[in-house]
Amino acid sequence: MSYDLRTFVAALQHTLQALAQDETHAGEIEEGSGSRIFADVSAHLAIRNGGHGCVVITFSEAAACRLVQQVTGREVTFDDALVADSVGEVLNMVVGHAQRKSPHRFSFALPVIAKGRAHEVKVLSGGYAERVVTEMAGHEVGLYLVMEPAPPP
Amino acid sequence: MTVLIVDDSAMMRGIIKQVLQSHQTGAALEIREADNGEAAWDIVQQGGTDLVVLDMNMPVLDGLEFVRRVRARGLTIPLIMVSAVTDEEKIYEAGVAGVTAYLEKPIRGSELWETVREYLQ
Repeated sequence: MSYDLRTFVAALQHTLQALAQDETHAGEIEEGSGSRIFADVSAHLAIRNGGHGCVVITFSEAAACRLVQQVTGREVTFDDALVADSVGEVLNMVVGHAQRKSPHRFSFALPVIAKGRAHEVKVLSGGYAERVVTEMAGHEVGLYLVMEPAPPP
Repeated sequence: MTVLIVDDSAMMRGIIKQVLQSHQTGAALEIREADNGEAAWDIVQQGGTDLVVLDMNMPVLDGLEFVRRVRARGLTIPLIMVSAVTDEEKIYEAGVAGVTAYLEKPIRGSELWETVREYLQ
């Protein structure tokens, strides 16, 4: 079973609009073929329905701080605990919203969150299959679908 | 009246708390917080909790297990689940477990307040 990244992109735009009241502009879906993922703040969680996959969300430092500022009404620095927390919660909401819109049932796990400037997100072993880069108030938010590599023949 | 907010996300606890505090009229609500179901269970057992707003997916003890414990003890406290999970089977399971109302994240503040107000009365 394959997952449709467009469902998750629509969910991301819905979530950011609802939480941060920011308009977002999603780019085109790009195929990754195993490309690496880097972020200042990232969250990923496993999704399952027969096939195992992983949804990853990445925020630049500016995007993550902007998110917290819009939600809480106060300016924060990268060190603030809410910066990581909010990215994880956004991913939760994105996948939950996509779950409702998806024609295929799937379950998902708790998100794993990482914060560190320009860290590499390593999930599964195949690199990302597809990604969309979304712009939120001039800052980048990435959404990636990483699929478990197919077993050897 | 005391409302307990249970969510492993500090951001969500802050949002829910802000919604309740900004909408309340009359006597001020006392708001308590917990970041997992086990900590919430400890608070509920102390008594004095009038309503719980809780997430479903949490570490240590998740929302569904917390609900089952509360209902197994015979407690009739309103339990308002606010979750990103939209799977209908899970939502049904929450209802069977004893959840009073289920709201999807991201929540609308007015909807949350109306639901809390309804069950606090």
